Amino acid sequence: MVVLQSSDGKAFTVERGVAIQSVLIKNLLEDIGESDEPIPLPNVTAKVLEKVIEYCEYHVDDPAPIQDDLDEIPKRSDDIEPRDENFMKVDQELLFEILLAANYMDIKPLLELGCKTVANMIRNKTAQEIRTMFNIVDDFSPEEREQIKKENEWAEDH
Amino acid sequence: MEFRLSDPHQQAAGPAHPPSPMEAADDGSAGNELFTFNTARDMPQLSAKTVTTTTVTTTTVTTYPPVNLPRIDATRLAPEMYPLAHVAAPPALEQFAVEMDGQQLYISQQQQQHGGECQNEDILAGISGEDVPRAMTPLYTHDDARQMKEQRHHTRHRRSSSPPSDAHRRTGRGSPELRKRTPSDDNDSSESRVPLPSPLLSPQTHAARASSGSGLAAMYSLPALISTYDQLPGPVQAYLLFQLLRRTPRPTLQFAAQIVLPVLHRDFIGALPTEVAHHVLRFMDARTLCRSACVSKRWRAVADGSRAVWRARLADARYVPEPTRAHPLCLPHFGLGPAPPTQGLTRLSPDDLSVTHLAPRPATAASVAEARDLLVTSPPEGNPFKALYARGYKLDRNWAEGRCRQQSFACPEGAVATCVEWTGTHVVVGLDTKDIFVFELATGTMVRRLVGHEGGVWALAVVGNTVVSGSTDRTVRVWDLEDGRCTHVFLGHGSTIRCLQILLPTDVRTPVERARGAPVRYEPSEPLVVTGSRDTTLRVWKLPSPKLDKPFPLRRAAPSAEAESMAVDDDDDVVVVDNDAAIIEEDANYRAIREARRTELPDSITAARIHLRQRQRQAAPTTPQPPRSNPYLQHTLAGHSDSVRTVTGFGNMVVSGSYDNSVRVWDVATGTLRHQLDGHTSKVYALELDTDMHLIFSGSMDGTIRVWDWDSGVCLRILRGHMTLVGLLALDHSALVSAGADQTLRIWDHPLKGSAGCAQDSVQPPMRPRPFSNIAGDVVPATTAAPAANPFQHLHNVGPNAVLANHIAAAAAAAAAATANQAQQQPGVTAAAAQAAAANLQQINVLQQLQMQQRGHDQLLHQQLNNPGHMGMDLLRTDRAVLRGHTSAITCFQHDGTKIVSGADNTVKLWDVRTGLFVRDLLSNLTSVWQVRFDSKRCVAAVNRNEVTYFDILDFDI
Repeated sequence: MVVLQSSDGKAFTVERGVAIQSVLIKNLLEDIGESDEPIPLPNVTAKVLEKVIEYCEYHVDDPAPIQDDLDEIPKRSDDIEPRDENFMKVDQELLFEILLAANYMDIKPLLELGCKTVANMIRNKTAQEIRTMFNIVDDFSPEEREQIKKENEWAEDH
Repeated sequence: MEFRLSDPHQQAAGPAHPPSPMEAADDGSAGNELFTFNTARDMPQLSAKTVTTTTVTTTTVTTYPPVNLPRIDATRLAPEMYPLAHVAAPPALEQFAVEMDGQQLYISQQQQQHGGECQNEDILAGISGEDVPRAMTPLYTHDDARQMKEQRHHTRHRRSSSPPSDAHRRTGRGSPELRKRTPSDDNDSSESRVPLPSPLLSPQTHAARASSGSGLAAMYSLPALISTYDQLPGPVQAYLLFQLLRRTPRPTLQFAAQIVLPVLHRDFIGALPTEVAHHVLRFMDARTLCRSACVSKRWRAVADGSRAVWRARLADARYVPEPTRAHPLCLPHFGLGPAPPTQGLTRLSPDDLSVTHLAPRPATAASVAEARDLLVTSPPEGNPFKALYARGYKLDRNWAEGRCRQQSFACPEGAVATCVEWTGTHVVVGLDTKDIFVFELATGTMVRRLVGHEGGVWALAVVGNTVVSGSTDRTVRVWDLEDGRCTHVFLGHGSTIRCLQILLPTDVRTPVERARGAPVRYEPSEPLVVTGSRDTTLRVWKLPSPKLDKPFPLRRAAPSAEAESMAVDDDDDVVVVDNDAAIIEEDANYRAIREARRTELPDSITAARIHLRQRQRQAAPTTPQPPRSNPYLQHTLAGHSDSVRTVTGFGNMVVSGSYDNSVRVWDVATGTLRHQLDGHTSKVYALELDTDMHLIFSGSMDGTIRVWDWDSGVCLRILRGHMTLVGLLALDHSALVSAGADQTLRIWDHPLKGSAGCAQDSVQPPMRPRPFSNIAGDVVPATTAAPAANPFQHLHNVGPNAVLANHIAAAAAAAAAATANQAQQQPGVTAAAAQAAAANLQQINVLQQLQMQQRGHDQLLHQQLNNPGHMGMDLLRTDRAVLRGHTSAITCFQHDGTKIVSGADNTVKLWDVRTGLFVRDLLSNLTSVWQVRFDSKRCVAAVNRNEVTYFDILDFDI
């Protein structure tokens, strides 16, 4: 068993197999060996860590991801499992935090899942819709806006 | 009741008293009445009394009167107006811990058993110390106001706290207004509500407030309320807010929601770390990427900033041709012409960044200008890969919608265009009427006419400025494209030269070797040309340079001016012309042509010509002896028992397909036969190579395509589908396309890729082939292969990395030299040199990236290859898509991984490789189609329209 401690001091006891899906923790455990000491995760709050552990527990039996971090492989985002899709039905804030945690803890499948979820949110939205969705201010000057429109209008031709 | 709490931490450090069983028991019983309640108006007040005994040990005495909060009068707050009034506290707020000044406080909400009637308060906020069970001792301290004030002061700045006692409350609360309010009804919670400074507050509320008279008092307590709020720890703030929200009417809630919700949206692209944001972008299509770039400055920077993302899109779309492995400098080095023209979409294409440009070179005026041009024209923050993609996308749309400029020019003599080759600027056409015409692409005018052959030209190849042709007159001729001279004539073949292949020094390492960084191996060591003839032999010649090598003309009395000066010393040195009709008749692939020309070649004439040819054969020896030693002839590859129909090669390996049904693999370095590939039951017409996987594809009259391993000579697969002759084959981006006399084209997913390790049932949906381009991917995966199995490991340090390092060193040295010289030499020259060096460095960076991608790609391929299981399985595969539409045998086609342009009967058709769907007719109403060639932006078709041969050029770059 491995004890993980969130930034707000909450301790989570999880099985080793669950914990080592995080490459960060895996490397840590390899470095320090087995230990009962809680592993502090200063960048992850309890709320997020709970969610991350939930994911890792569900995916504990997944085969190791194929070494396919090659960009040339076309990335698809329409292949999310229903259960994972449900898991990701959280508010933006938590999704954001999960992404950060997955990145920090180096859990590739979760990061991938989070990125796909975000990509799916953005897909087929217009720039204005994206701004509304994420509360982004259009900070282009009129000239810039014209220029950018010209730069990107080719993609709308179909 | 009040309790003293010893700080556990300090207790551990000092001689604090241990908890007695009695105390523990006391604590247990105290649970219910731990807290007393004060008036509703009291904000939770926390106080503490600290008695410092020694400098080492501090005993903290904390009083814990309960904090009670005003209850909500459910009868007065209608649910429609106060949607949250009746909502139970969320679990997170029922019980939670707060750390205050280093001490854990647990706050819990006591459950009401019988509604609000049993007590004044409906909510109890209990505060208990962490070590209450152990350390809490009742310690009643009734005190004077001064002490309490002090305590309160403490509370603000130090450790644990408790609500103030009555005495404290009376004196400690400074606000007279509050005291004034004290007598009012405890249950009237609406009065105690503090209005939010909201413009949306309903006028009703204001009126009620004003009339009650206590509104003013509430107003004055606002600063205290806010400062209290500020001091509360986060969870308590949440708790307080929840309580406030519960008694907030709907319009105000809506107003709050309007304010709160938008700011809670997270900007995933803008606020995430850039590498994570790029990861998100990786899952987006090009259009979404473009729209993202329009969102804001930050989004634009992220969306346009990632080369890897756009490279991946580019690779996915296959907008950039697969790079050639031929040595980029071999053409100028061997005097065959300038370095190959850029095949990419723009000047910034990855092809542009080949080592050609990186080779250390003197800073000539031209190169300096070019470097400056590169620096100036490439936008400082533009993403070249996005620009490439945009260009490819536009061209793609133009192709799909047929938007193009079309020009058409007639060939001076109506003839069959047997072969069409093109350079960046010129089209070279071999005709069955002896001559080779050179047209300028831009204007369509004939700029050269290569005269010399005495029979039809049936084989043609162009590299740089050098043209090699083979003819029915049994000669191989080498021409200078620039001035149209025929500089070399090779005799030796005993019959028509039907096919030829130029072999340039090429990097022949396998992907595995490249991934491991094995040193570059170029084969063959010099440019060669291999010719295949109806005399059943192949001949390997050193490819002469028209400019550098001494001419080697035909030595006989001939109309050729050069030849006249040469003495004729051998009567056998006779050019015998084979009859076109024989070829046409033999060549089922040209059945369509024959049909088209039937009026010209009635059967009787054909028969007569065949008769004539037979007579000629009898008269002249079928294999005339080479009159003198030809220094260019390297080997004669003999072994086939019938005409050699097709030849191809890679490095030192040459593959020939013959009418004797066999495919043979030769080594041109030694002139020996490596393998004889038997299996086809009829003539072999077409060959294609997969140079990465060392595969040979052969198409035959028996209707099958066979896949052979060129190292072992084993037949790995038989691809069945065509009804009859498979006359044309082409592999690009892992898609094999075949065309046949059965009027169809067929697309085959790579027969060996993506299928390894899985059962090849027909039930299995066809695996999507992975794109094959090396332009994507900037991650170098760890080498997974077992080190023992890696024969090239010891060569690690001399691979392309080392070569690259040399280039970098050269460029850096140049830059340094330029800087050092700046003080002494003319500033203009050194600045230019520095600029050139900078451009060099810029290119090196991109090249480095490309090399890394190449490695990643190779590694992937290696993984696929290492997956065992494809041997010994069912050899048969079927096609992925059948392209039907043509109504006669396909005479020609080309494909580039995305589109196929095919010619047959009276149309030139465009197909989509990935979907296998027909897109459009590019040309129609033709009499026949001889040849088509295209690149990303242009298509050239040699066609026959009403018995006149035309060249149609479609330019999609508009």
